Amino acid sequence: MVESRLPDALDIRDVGAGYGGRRVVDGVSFAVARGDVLALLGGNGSGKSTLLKAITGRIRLMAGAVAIDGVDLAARPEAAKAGFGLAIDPAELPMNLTGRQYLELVASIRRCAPNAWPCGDVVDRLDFGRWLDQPIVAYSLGTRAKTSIAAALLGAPPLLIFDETLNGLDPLAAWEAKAIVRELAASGRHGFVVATHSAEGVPLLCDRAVFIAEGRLLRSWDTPALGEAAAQPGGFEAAVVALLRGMSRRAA
Amino acid sequence: MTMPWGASGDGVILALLWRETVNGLRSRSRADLAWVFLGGGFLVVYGLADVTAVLHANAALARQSARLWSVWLPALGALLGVGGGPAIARLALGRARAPFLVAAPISLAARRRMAATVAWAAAAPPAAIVAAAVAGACAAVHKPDAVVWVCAATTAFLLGFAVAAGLAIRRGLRDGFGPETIRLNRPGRAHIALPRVLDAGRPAWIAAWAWRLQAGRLAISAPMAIAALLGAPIVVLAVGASVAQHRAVPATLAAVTAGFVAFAASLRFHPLASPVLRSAPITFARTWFRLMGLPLALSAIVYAAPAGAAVLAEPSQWAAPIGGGAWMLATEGAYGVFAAFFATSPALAMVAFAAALALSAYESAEFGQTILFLPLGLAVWLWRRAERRFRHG
Repeated sequence: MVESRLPDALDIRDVGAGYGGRRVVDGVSFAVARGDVLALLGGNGSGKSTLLKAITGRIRLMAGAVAIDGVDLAARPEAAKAGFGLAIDPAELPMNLTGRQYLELVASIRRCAPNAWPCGDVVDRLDFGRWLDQPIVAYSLGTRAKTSIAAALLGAPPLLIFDETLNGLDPLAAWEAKAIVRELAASGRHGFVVATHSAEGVPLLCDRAVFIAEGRLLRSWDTPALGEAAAQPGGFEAAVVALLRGMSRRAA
Repeated sequence: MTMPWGASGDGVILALLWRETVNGLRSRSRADLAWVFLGGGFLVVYGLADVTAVLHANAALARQSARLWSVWLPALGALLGVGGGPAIARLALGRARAPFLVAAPISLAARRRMAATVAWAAAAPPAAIVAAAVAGACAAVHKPDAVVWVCAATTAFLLGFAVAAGLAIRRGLRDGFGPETIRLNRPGRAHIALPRVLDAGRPAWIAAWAWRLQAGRLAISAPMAIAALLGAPIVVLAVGASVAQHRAVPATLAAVTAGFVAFAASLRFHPLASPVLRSAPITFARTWFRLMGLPLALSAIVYAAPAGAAVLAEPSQWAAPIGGGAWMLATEGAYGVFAAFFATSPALAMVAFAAALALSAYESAEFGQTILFLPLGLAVWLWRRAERRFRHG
C-alpha cells in the first residue's frame, strides 16, 4: 500500500502584503508541516501581525501565494479558511454573546458540534466552564483568551494560529494550553503557528522558529538549530535579543 | 501628516479621530481612493448642476415663497443638525471609552469638554456646506438679503447639532465609560430573550451579535418604546382611513413605510467587519442573507397587519398591497447592500441610500419615467466591493 503524504498545514511563498499599496511584508516564505510548532518572532512593527492577517485572508496578498492544507487562499478563500483555526484577539470577540453562544457560532460555521475538540473537553481543561453562560464582556483577558483558544480548536482544523494568545493566561491555563499544543502536534494531524514575544518559552513549546524584521524573514531555526541555541539556559532568548539589538542599531 | 491642532488637553479625542481618519485613508488602496473621490466628486458635481438648473427654472417661485426661506430652510437645517449631532457624539464617546483614557485621571467635566471639542470641530465642515448650499441657492434665484438666509439656516443647523450632540454626550457619560462598548445589563430594565430557534441558522447567534443583545436578551429601551408608541397610532389612522373610504392605498402606504422603517432600524451588519467572520470558512452571501433574515421577518410582521387591513377594506384592490410589498422587498434588498458596504456605519448607509433614491427620484421626475439604474448600479458595485473586502480584505 502506498501511503499518500498529506499536504503541509501551511505553505507560504514569497508573500507580500500591506496596506494602501504599501508593502509591510515582502518575500516571506516558509512551510508548516503537520506536527510542526513554528514560533513567529519579531519586534514591534516588524510585520508579524500583517503576515498573520495575510495568511488568514484578512488583507489581500500583494505578491506570492498562501496554501492552507494544500488549498490556495486567493483562489478558494472559503475552502482555505476551513483549514485553519485562528485564536481571535480577545478584544475582537463578540462581547455581547456568552462564551457558549460564541462557541456555538463558530461551530455552526465550521459545521461541527460546539464541543468537537481534538483533545478532550477544552473548556474543562482550561477551566472556564463557570463563565460559559456569562457575556464575554464580563470576562477577564485570560478567560477571553481561553474562549478564543477553545473556538480555534473546534472542528480540529489542520493549522492552528495563535497570535500572542498564550500571553494573557494564568500559569495553570498556560501550562494546559501548551500541553494541548504539544499533544496535537505530536498526533501529526495539526501544525501550529505561534506568534509570540516570549522568546524564553519558544524552545520549550516550539520545534522551529522564524524571525521577521522590517517585513522580511531575517532568520530561521530548524529543530536542530533551535535545540542548539537553547542548549544553554537563556541561549535562544539571547540570540533573539542580539537580533533585535542589531536591528535597532541599524535603524539608528 | 501633522494635526491642525494640539494633541493635549481637550483636543485628545479630536487628535485620536484625526489620526484614525488619516490612517483609514492611508490604509485604502489608490484604486479605492480614486473610486471614492472621483466617483463621489462626479456625483456631487452632477447633482449640483442639476439642482442649479432646477433653481434657475423655478427662480421666481422660489424667490417669492416666504415660507420656504423663513420656515422650511431653517427647519431643514435644524433637522440636519439633529440628525448629525448624535452620530458625532457616538464617535466622540467611543474614543472617550478607549482603555488608556478610562484609566487616566480625568474628571467628568473634562471628559465632557473633550467630547464637546470633537462635536464643535466636526460640526464646522457640515455647517460650512449648509452655508455654501444656501448661499449658492440664493445666488441661483437672485434672492435678496442672502446673508440673512445663510445665517438663519446655518444657525438652525448649529443649534440642532449642539442640542442633539450635547444631550447624547451627557447621556453617554452619565451611563458610564467603562473600557467596553457594551455595558453589563442594568438592573430594573425589562429584557426579552431572543428564542434560540430564531437565531439558529448558520452562523448561529449572529442576529444577537448584530443587535448587541447581551447574552441573547433584548433590553426594552425608551427610544424603542417611544418609536412604537408614535408609529402605532399612525398605522392605525391609515388603516382607519382605508376602511372608512374603502380604499387600499392609505393602509398600503402605512404598511410599506412601517415595514421598511422596522427593517432599516433593525438591520445591523457590523459583524461583517469582524475577524471572527472574515477569517472563517463562510461566504459573504450566506452571512449577508443571515443578517438580513430577522430584519426581513420583522418587516414582514409589521407589514402584514396593515396590508391585510388594506385588502379587507377593498378586496378588489388586492394588487396594491401585493405590489407595495414587492417594492418594499426590493427596496430592502437594495438597502441591505448599502448597509453591508457601510457595515460599521448604519447612519452613513442610510444617508447614501437616501441620496441614491433622491437622485433616482429626481431623474425619474425629469425624464417622466422610473429610472432605477443609479441605485441598482450602485447596489451591484457596492455588493462586489463589500464581498471582495469580506473575502480578501
